[in-house]
Amino acid sequence: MNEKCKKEAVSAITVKKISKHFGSVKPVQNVSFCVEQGEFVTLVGSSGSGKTTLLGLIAGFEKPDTGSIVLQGREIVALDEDQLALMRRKSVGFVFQDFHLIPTLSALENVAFPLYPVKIPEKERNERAQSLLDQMGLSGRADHLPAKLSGGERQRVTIARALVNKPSILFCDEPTGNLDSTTGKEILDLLVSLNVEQGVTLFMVTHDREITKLSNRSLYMQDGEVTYHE
Amino acid sequence: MINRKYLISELTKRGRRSVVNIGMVALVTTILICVTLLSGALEKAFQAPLNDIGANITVQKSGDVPEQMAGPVLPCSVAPITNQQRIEIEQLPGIQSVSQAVLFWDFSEDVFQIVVGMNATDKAGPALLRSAVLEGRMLTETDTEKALAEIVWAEQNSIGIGDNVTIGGESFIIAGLVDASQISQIGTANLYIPLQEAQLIASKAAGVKEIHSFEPQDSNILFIQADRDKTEDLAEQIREMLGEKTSVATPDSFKQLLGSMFNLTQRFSALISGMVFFLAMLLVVRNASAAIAERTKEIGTMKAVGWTGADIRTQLLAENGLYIFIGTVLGVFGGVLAAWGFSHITIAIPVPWDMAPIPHFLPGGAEQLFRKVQLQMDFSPQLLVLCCAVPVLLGLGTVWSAGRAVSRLQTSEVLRYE
Repeated sequence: MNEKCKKEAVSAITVKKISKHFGSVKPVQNVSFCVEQGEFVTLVGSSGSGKTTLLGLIAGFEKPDTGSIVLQGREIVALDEDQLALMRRKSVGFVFQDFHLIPTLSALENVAFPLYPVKIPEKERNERAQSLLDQMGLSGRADHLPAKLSGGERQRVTIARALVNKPSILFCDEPTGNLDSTTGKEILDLLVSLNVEQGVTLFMVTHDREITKLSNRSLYMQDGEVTYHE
Repeated sequence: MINRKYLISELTKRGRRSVVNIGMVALVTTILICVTLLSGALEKAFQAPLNDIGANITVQKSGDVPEQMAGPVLPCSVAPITNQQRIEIEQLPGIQSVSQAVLFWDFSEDVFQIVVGMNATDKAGPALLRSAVLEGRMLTETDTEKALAEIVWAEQNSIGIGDNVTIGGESFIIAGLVDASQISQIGTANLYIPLQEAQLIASKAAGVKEIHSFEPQDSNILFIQADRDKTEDLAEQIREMLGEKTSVATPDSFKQLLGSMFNLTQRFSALISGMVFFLAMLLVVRNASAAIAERTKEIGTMKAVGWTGADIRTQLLAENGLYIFIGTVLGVFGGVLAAWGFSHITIAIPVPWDMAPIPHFLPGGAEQLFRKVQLQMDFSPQLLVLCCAVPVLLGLGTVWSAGRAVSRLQTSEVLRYE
């Protein structure tokens, strides 16, 4: 267990001895770690090391074969798909490498998308989405479809969408992987400021060791195992 | 909870998919309406010749050709049916009523006339002429020595109300002029007289006696009202009772009379319609499944950002429900247009010569007779509901089951979907 995570009761993420295999491939093996509230942790490793699978397990996108995952004090391994979806709606945001925006919806509508099944007035929903777009510097792009936005703008929309339900944990899967270095840096600055200013727990998968310098702590992954914490 | 913005944007911004989905539903609905209406209209058309005379079965027997064309003779197509045979037919289960008629040709020195004897109060057969009286009056139950004349024949022979005509040597006064074209071609004649008098004339006539035994209570055409679902069974039983030379007409026999060409065309059309319909059904299912498959990754995003299975299914059902609603409305519109087009089609139902026994030596006597029927499209709310229900249930059922399957997958599986 990580030394930094002594008080499990207040931790954002607690992972205990989780393993996952697909046939003979074992992308995640006996992994344990803990992330505290408000921490910025990066998960680093080369391609195929199992970091994206691990992120998927922690976010509840798939279930581990063994082990336990606790998010915000709640064990998620036993939850069904709907309970996991509700858990994500309530306390988790996700930033994808390839954005996953809905092509038929405008930037504003994409940001508001997680709130569509929630019973809140449309006006309030749109105000919240617009405010996040403003925060991301996309005030003038609210009505644009994703196809009309640049890569950096799309990633900002994705981040705004991840924040619209006011999550306490933000999972990011290579958020700068599809961006040029300048845009990538802007996006990173934005994420770091969210962590520092708003106290959002940030758990980021990356293969870029430069990014680790910005985080509080890094977990290194190799052949499905977290080899060491830094 | 359905999101209207998302619903409308999917409909409008995925134009091609929307057009294909809506078009498929519209096509299936239109085909269903057309096939159902056409088949109903054709069935009605085949019943038209018999409906005209208020019966669904007519019975005649073939006999020998008269040796001499002098005085009253029975055409070879209407040999006597005994009163005992009529009573036996009347007692068959499913028979509602049996009306008798006697049809004979009357040859005198310079006149030829077709004469039918009928009961004026019958529910079927020539008695239906009561609604076709153009001048004078219909015969009554108590009338004797009175006759009705077919108006065209009467004009040609300068005969009017109150005039005397001689039939089989007996004198009759014309009580009314009728338009016999209104009761199809079956059992039509130049003159109509009371049944008992016709039976008496036929039973005494030398030309009849030469080849037949005709008693005063016999007849030679029966008009039968029977239970619709038993018509064909009854027809078979009557054929067995009266022997090989019996001609029993039913709606089905008119269908067969249209000939092999028509049957082939009809079968071919049915085959084509069936194939198009089946193909369209498959396309509805395929499109509905494709709509889900195409959006599998999007469904992964929905799940990733917190949409539950129920949220996803509701949204997908609403979207496809909208496609199906628009498609069904367009399909009904298309069906109405097609039905309007079909209602202008007239088909000619052939009436066999033996059912309208006009001597072949008269002008037009050897020509095939037809009853022209305009196809009648019967739109009913039940038909519309039925025709709309098939694509609606099929489309929504497919979307629901496909959506359910996808929404049950783990989020990572759906997100990875390509």
